[in-house]
Amino acid sequence: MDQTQLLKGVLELAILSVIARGETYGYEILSTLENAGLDGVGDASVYGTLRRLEQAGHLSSRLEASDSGPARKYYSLTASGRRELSKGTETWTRINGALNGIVHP
Amino acid sequence: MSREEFVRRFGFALRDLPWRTRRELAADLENHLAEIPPDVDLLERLGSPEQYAADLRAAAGLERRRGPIAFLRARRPRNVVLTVLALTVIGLAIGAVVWIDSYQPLATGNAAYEPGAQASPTGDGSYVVFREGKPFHYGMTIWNSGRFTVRVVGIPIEYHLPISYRLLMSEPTTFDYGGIPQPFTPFHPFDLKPGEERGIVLRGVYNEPCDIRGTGSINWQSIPVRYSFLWHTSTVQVPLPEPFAFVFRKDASAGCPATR
Repeated sequence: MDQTQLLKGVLELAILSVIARGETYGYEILSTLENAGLDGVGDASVYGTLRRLEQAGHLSSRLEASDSGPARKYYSLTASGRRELSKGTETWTRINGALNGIVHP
Repeated sequence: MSREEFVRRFGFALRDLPWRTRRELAADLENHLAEIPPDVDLLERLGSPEQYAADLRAAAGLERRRGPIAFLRARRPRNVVLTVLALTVIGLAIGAVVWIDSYQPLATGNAAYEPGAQASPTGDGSYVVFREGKPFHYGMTIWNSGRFTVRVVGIPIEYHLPISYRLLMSEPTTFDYGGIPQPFTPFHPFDLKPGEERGIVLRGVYNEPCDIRGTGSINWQSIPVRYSFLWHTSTVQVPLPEPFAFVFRKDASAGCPATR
């Protein structure tokens, strides 16, 4: 089964969850996802999702100068983002439980 | 592929998006590329710039935009403003040139013929019967009915009249003077201010009858006036206050050679 397609469905939840741990930037989010084993997520998908979440008001961002190059864009959850994360987590838990019951009867 | 080239092609692939959105996405990409270690093959990690742009567009929900509004929004606002300004200036300049080229404020005020002019039987002008060698003078006023000064540079009567004449002019006067002020001096180019008029007089004798064949009349409806306004010089046919005709009661060319 194509892992990429599966990941796309939960990428938003994964990103919100990573940012919920604390303010962070795109490349760090990407590295966190890869280190967690979600290495099939494309860079463009992460940055595209970050933009969509920010446009939807779930994330806020600020630029901070970086010693190593251009300024980094740090993201944090808004109140709306926290609600979205809560709803997503609840949905994911329900689907995960249901799928576990089907896949591992 | 260099990072600059990657960003350039990425931006081109998103050229339909609003300029600000494209600039933000390009900045995000530049930030991201700055984080990727230099020894990493960009194409291997990110795919082609076009594929990266397509994936990002899909993930961000950025639909492809078409139409004139999207075309304008995709341009940098400063460039749009500069283009509009440039087009406005060009349009105004073209309009000014067309207006200046077509500016024609000249009109005739009144006209007088001496001696022997008669009212036309049809009541739409006057006429004079041609008699070889008879002296005459015919005058009219040229009036500037516009709001800008023009320069009258000549009265280029090119069509043939059976007369020989000297062109004279009067001193300037105002349109409501009602006559042709004297004295007359030889014509030379002059400025005609708004509301001002000058008398133009043709003084001479009838002659050259051999150029006229048969009987009939030569009708004079307008007078050619060559004038200049700023850089533009042209000749305009200014209608006479009333039509004027030279009438030939008998063949003036009788006795002339068959051809000239």
